[in-house]
Amino acid sequence: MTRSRTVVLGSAMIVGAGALVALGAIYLDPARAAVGPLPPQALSLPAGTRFVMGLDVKRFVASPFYARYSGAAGASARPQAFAELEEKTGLNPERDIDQVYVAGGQVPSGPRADGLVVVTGRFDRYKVARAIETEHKGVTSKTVQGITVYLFNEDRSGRGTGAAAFLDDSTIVLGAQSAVEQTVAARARGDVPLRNNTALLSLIESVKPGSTFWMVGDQTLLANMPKSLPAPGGPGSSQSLELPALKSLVVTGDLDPQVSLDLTGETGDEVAAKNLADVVRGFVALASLQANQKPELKQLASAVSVSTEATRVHVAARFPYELLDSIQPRRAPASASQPSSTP
Amino acid sequence: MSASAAARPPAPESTAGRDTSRPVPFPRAARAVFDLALEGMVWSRRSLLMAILLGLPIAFGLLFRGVIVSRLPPRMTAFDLYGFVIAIYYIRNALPLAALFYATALIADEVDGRTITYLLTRPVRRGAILFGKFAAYLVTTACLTLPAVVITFFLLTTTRGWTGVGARVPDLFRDLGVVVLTLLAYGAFFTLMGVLLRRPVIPGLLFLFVWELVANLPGYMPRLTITAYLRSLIRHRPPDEGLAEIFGQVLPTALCLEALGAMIVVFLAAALWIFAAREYVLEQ
Amino acid sequence: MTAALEYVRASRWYGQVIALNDVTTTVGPGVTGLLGPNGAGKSTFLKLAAGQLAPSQGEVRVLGKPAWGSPELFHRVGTCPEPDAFWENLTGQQFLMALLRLTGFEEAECVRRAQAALEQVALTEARDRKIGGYSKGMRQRIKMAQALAHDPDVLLLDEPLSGMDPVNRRRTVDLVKRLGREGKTVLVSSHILHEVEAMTRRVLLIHNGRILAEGDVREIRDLMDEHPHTVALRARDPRRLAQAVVGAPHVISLSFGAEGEWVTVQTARPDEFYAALPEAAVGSGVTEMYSPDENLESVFRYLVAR
Repeated sequence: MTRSRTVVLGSAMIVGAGALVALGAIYLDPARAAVGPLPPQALSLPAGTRFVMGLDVKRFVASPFYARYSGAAGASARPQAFAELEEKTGLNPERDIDQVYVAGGQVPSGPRADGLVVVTGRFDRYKVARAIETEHKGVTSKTVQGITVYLFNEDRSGRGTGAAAFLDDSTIVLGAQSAVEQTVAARARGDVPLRNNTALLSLIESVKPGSTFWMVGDQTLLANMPKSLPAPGGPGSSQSLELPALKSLVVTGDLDPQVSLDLTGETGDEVAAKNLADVVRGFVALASLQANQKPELKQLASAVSVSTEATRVHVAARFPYELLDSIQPRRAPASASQPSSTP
Repeated sequence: MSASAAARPPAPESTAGRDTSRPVPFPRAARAVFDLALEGMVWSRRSLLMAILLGLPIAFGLLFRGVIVSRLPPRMTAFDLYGFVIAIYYIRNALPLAALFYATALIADEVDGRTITYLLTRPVRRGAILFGKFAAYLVTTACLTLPAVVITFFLLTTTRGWTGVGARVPDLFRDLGVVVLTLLAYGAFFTLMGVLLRRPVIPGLLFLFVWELVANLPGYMPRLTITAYLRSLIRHRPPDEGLAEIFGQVLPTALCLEALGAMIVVFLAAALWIFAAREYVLEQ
Repeated sequence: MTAALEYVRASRWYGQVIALNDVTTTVGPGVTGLLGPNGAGKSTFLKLAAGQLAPSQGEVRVLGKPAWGSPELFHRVGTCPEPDAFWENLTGQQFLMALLRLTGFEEAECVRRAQAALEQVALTEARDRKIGGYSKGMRQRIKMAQALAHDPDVLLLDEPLSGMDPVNRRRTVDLVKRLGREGKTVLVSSHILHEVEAMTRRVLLIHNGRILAEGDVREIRDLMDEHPHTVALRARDPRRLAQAVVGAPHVISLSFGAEGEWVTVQTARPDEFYAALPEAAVGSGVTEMYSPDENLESVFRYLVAR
């Protein structure tokens, strides 16, 4: 065998061995493949999920946004609340929580809210469970497919029983009892029902990788959104602007090095996309016209760009922190722990 | 002279099975060129330098495990670093450079070395020559890159044990696919530049480090680059601030695959057309 | 029967430079020498036949097909290019095998043919050495081997003896002559006249892109009526010989050699001179005779100077 062939064969063997090890890792690791920013354990969410929101807590906490504005809540309030939580549960949200996901089948404020919150991070499972059992009155528990589900009899707002459970050592799910139990059961069986929701998954896959926060919603969710807005003549105007129906919406955002927001909405056709884009541009222009009273609004408006691509409308906004500072009311200087932005 | 007279090549009857009225069949000819080209490509000084360039992440992975891991910022994971290696080091820099230095030289090396005559005076179509050499380039660069990606992946993602590695494996396979696509796409483009231009390296560098920056612009312009499609295919993204804006748009996967496939076909077809019509006059 | 190589009003130019100018000729079986000084157009002539260049005008056909754009011709055409260039990392055997594979032979056939070609050029013992370590003569021989290995009907050899020592030069000349006797069409290009002379009497003389003359050297010479024919005679009594021939009307001039035994005669009509020579030579004791004009150099010099 020639030297070249030896090299080729050697490379193939390394890659093949690596592939075998990788496949073995998949087989042995109960975690399933992630979909976009959604971790494998979140695929146990019900197939009927219509919207998902995600927050990368690590990026959020490390962002200049958090450093600047977390102190606005009161320098003493934050440490105390977190300190109490840490004392009871061993959980420091800033340190131990990685991601928070909110999912639901209806608009959260609807009469039959079945939202779920999935939190991933590092938990002292015993301490958290103990805190749940002892700190909340009326907490009961049941076992679903071998997994303990804590039930909260919180019926004050008429939303039904709330529940919480550990999907695994690094994942907590909270929300409506039925939704939590569905999720827990799927997880215990090793099912991934959310994979059957191909429309939602394709939206999740289009989320820009590494976004600090994001949201996707499909047609069902968006059907409940307003169909029209008051015309720019002001609240007193009798006219209204018809909004084209959206088939899907993807929102992503970042907080570092500036506040960035990207919205992509899919409409039924190119005409609808153009109309929607014109509506958005109109509002941006309106804001710009208010510049006489508030010059900073003009900068805000100019930071927004609207474009269309076939049936999609893209809205991108980029707000430097200096601009946001200029439109905030005067406040106390930022804390000494504010991180400096690095290139 | 009797010994020589006795050592003549076999009589024409032994050409049975070889149709001398047509060129050698394309696959067979391409395979013969591939074998010949691979021999010179894999075991060469250029490949040694490329092996170092493409294998640097392995050294980084070892350094990471030994030294850097304890200094990792809390919001950055080892997998984020792996994503950085793939997105920035390989896809954006090392692989396009490897493609530039190999693919522009596919024909140029033969011309400069004056061995092109041997290839052009064989009963093979010129397309088979180009195809065979391109395949040799692809195999050579893939042999240098894919093992490095696999090793780097495991070095970085198993820093704190094997928990969660399984969840990352699909990203590894996807990245390997994107690596191959990167080599194909840039290789096809630089093959075209190599047959079109006498000195393709400088224009190639300008393309990589000037034109490809267009991928960072908003709107439709990124679609005129190669890197915009490749970036959109990888699922992870570097965690550092500042680099967040470099990534730009994420184009749909189907569009990326179609666009890259079309680019590869068009560039190679154009290269073939030019190579087939060109005369190679070696100065004596 | 179609000639192996046909040039029909073939021209080739590079920008403003005309390398080959309206050439019409054929080359058939046997060995033909392509002769001309550097820059005469020999390489262009060969490259057109080898399909490496397309004619700017006219046609160049090999075995009845256009040379340019017909790669299948190379099943039956072998070329030995002039540049000393190889894939240096390959051994002699590997080099031949690679090119034989490119010619479409099966692996076993490639091995047989490579070994046979190596034997033909006496490189069997060096077959497993890298070409990068070959001497100049060995490199030239391996180049010949790759041209012969697939047993082509047409061979285009560009300076095949370049760099060879006398032994291998002799060997190669014999090989070329044998190939010609076997009926192959061998076109040998060289600017070294005695090399071509050693291989063949049939020549194509080329200069400034044009064919000056083609055919047998002697026939070419005979056609040059205006050019006096020189005959050198060695005799025991050169003065008597000179007296016998000087009066003939076709004798233009006569001179004695430095050593005294030689008489050099220039005649306008060599046939008449040769016919009259036996009678004129009686009593002179002619022991040796030759005609310097019947070598290529004089023919070529004369033609180029016109």
